[in-house]
Amino acid sequence: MLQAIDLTKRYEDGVLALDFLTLTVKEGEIFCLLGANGAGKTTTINLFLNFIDPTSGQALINGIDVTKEPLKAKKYVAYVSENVMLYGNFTARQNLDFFAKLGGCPDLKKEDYYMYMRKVGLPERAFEMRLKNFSKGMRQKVGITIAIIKNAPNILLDEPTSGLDPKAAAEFIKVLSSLRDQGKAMFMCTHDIFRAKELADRVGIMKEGRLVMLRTREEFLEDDLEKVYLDYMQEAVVG
Amino acid sequence: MLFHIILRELRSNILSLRMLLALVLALTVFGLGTLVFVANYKIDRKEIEHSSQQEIERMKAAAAESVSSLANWGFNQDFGPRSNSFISNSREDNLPVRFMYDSFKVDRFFVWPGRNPLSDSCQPLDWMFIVSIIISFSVLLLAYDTVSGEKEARTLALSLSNPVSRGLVLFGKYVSVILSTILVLVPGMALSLLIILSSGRIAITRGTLAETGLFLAAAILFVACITAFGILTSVLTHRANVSLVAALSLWLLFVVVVPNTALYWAQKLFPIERMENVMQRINMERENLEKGMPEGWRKNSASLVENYAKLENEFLASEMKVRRDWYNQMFSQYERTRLITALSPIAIFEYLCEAAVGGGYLRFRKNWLDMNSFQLQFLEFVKAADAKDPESPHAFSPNSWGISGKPVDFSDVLIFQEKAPSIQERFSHAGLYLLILFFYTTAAFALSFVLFVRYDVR
Amino acid sequence: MILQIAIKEFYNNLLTARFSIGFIMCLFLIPFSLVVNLKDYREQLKGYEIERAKTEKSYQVRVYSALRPEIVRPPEPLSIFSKGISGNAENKFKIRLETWVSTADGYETGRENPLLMSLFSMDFCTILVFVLSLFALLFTYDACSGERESGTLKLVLSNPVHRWKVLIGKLIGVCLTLLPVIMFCYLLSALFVLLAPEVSFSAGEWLRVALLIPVSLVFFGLFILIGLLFSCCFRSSAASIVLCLFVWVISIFIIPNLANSLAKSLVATPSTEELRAGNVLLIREMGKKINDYSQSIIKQMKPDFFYWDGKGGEDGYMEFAGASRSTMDFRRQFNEFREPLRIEYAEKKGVGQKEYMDQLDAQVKLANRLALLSPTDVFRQVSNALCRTDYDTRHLLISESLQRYRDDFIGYLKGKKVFSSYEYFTRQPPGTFMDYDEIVRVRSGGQFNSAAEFIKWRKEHGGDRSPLNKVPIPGTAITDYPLLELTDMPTFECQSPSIPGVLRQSMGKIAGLIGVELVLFFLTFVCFVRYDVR
Repeated sequence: MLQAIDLTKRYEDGVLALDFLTLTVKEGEIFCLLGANGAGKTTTINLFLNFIDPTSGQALINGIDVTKEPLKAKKYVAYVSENVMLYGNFTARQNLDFFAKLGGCPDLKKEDYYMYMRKVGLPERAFEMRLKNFSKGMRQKVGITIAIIKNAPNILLDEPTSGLDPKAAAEFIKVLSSLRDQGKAMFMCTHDIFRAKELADRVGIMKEGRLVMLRTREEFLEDDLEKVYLDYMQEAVVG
Repeated sequence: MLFHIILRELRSNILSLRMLLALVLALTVFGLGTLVFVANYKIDRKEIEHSSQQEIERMKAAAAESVSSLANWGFNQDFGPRSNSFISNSREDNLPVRFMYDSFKVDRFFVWPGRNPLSDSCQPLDWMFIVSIIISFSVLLLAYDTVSGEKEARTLALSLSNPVSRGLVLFGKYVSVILSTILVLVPGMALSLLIILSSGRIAITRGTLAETGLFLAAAILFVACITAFGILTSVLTHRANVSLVAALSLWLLFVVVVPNTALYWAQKLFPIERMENVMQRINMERENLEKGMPEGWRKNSASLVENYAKLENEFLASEMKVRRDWYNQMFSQYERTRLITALSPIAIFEYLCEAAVGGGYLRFRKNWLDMNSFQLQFLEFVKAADAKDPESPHAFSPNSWGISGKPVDFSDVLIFQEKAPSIQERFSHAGLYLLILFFYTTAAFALSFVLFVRYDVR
Repeated sequence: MILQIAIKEFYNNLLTARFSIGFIMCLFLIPFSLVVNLKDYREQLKGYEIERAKTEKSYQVRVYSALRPEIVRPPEPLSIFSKGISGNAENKFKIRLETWVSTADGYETGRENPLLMSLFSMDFCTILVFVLSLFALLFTYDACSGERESGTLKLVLSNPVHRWKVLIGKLIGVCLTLLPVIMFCYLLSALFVLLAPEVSFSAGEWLRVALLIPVSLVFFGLFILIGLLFSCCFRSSAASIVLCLFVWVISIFIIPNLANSLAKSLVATPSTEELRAGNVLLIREMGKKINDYSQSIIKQMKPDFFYWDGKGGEDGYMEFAGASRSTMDFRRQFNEFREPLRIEYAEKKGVGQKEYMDQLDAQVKLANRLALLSPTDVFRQVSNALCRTDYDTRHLLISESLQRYRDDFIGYLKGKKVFSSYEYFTRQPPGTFMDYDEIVRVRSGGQFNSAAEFIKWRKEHGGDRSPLNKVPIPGTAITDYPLLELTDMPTFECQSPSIPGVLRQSMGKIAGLIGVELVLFFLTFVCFVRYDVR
């Protein structure tokens, strides 16, 4: 479970990146945070990962405050970033191996890694290929495999589908929904309204650090999400 | 269009950290190096003047004693530090600068003996050093990511999506790196000249300014060459950090590998005769000549002086033949080795600077030849002085009593004057190296051009 | 966890282009330098053997005045690793009464072709410093900033790992990468030395080489930390590498060269010519004293200067046999006065020479101290000290070992009271000395009855001495006497700093390096903990 309680971040240069965000993502739920560039989506993720300290408020992972016990909190969270390069000189399996050991799963064997990679739909030939020769979609799949292997109850995803072609994105989404079925709490930042619509259990729209809209799946399926989103964005321009 | 590209490149170079660092470092070293030069030049000059003065005194003493002494005493001719060696010392610290001669021969040369034997040999921080190390390094740092870095930042594709030819873009980058380097180089040189002017110890003549100009020209050619290599490393790869490693390796190759393996090649490829062999040959010749003399000549007191002189002259001629031959071996060994080191543009630049300031090996060779012709004149002079003396046996030879014992007026005695190499000599010294440098530059640039035309900008 | 990160770094480094390029560079440069240095060493060894044979002869003398010990120092085999100043100093020393030991004379260690002196060749340690320090920087400059740029740093830190563990892991990983390269370089050089004929290291020398390894590790540690610090200071690896490389150039090219020239201009050495001029004055003064004395005793003793067999030479040595009694007596008395005077004047000349040497020392010391600013120079100084090619070793040789030996030698001569003895210049027993008249009578077989008669005859016959060859007198040729037994003569022992001594001396420098490393580590640690991974 991911919880943000009055989470606020004001940077040194005075920019208010996040303004009293309060939010909970439960097990088996995918929460999609939409918003323009610079709306504060990535700041939220960085706060959850304790890469930056909040100005006020708390970020809790499974009830653990990330600023107080960052290491304990990080046990319960996996992270998939936008466009991660990983270690280009290593093969996919070597990358997985390294991160598995970091994430606290030291005893996996080659076959186990292969199995995980098969699960996310990586082609067999890629298993022992150097990562620098991977396409973006394949890299992203390795990224999600790392998260799967870590087997944390919470997953933070930062624009995971950006730059992927529709087919790759669709495959990626499939993996995410299977993860939901396993009961993971997922927090995903994205610009991609269509994917969000397809996948999310709840959607939030963020603007200038504030969560300006929050809809459940039923609600946003009723209203036209694109229209809602554009309206809010429009407002930003006008306002 | 070209102007536009160059301007943009220049602007981004000037604002970069490396440019700033290069400028600060170059200015600091230019300043410190010149300050140190001014101080040391005075010390060295004093030392050499002292020793030259003593040689003059000895010559005076010899002249006052007799023609024979003047003919037979060995004198040292020292070639002191040049006042323009702040531009380039050209390794004169390690090259022979003292020649030993008498009226019969110029037979030995030494490295300056006054050096502190306890200290490590070091390279003086002259302009040449600064350009060949700091500037060349900065050039590579400026050039290594001109293409691969832009590719990574994706600005390359953007630039090339405009109606502008790739050649122009590459050339613009090339010129702008050279221009930025000149922006580092010229203030440094100006600072250095300013320090020298304000020290008041070294006069800056028109000749020095001309040499400065020649140096600047050589430096720009050199920078152009290194830039071409830098750009080549940049278009060779698609990732800036790989180009960096390639550029650094190239630099190490030029600065460290080629110059430091020169000695190996010199010894392996162009071995010269061993000193022992040469000495043995000289002694054998001596024995043969002695055997060739008529039986019992030493007992024949009537013609003893003539015979002795004849033998001594033969000894001299044979020894000098062997020695000259050996020296020529040395010279050709050294020259060929230098040609091998011309693999590295940095070595070429060093030779160009040598030509620009008229120092180093160019100076040594010229002095060696001049010294040899001077010795002939000196011999003629001593012979003439001997001929004036009716009491002399006129049996002219080294180590003999066959020469006049009358004193000579010192004011008539010839004294060697060093002549700086003429402009023709300098250019002919530099000619081959210039050609090689030009070849490298064009080859590297042409190769980069070909690679850039095919460069995958994605 | 640290181990995991270290291993990952190690593999990652191993797979990069920089690793293979650096490795090839070492593989290429080290054999070249070793071949050149081994050849230099062999040349020196050859020169040494020749000189050595000559030196043996200098002890085969019949009289004490001819005893002028010559000391030839064998070339330093460790100079193959670190040349230091072994190349520019000569290695033959003569112990003479008249001169104070300062600089060497003769037996140059230069190359056959003096022009080649202007070509530089690097020794093993320099190449190690050049290539491997660059190597260390190239492996570390993007340790943080590079991972940040590729996004892996975020991914790593999203796991429950302490940041310090990541840092230490990286540090160990880089060390693990460099260690085999360093070891390989050392092994390669050891192999060359082992395979080279004529070169054999003693156990102590191998130990010194082995000690170079930890010193080089400490040294490379510094560059690793510099690279890490910059990579943690900057957000972009391009900035980090530029700074790293500038630090590298300053440390390797600028500071050592600047330190040397700066020291030269700060501590002026008196000119050798001035020194020589001062000595000439002293020599003249001494010459006058000796001349005055000899005039006075000639007046008093009226020697006839008849010598039968004799030779003399450098440093005023002379050896006679069959000379007339008055000549021998004159010589003895003359030597009794002259030799202590010469020793005294040697001391006087020594004052100037010592000042000169002190200035040279001060210059070098200052240069070395200034150069300590550059870590490369610290390593160079320590490695030279370990290889016995540094300034201190030289200083110890000249100022202590040789000085002491000269004192011992003079003490030995004085102890035997040789200056006032006949044995100083002749082995003929004083009982067999004859007057000039007697000699002439015996030798000419009675042709002349007195010296005056012979001198008169000789003048008339153009200096002909042949009548004196008629009857030989036994024991009047130099070669009639055996060589001196010199078993009790002091022998020269060349002291060089012992290994513990060197370590003690270098301790400060190494400790300084380690101190700087600790500071750097601390800074890196602080920077990394506060590093903004976004």
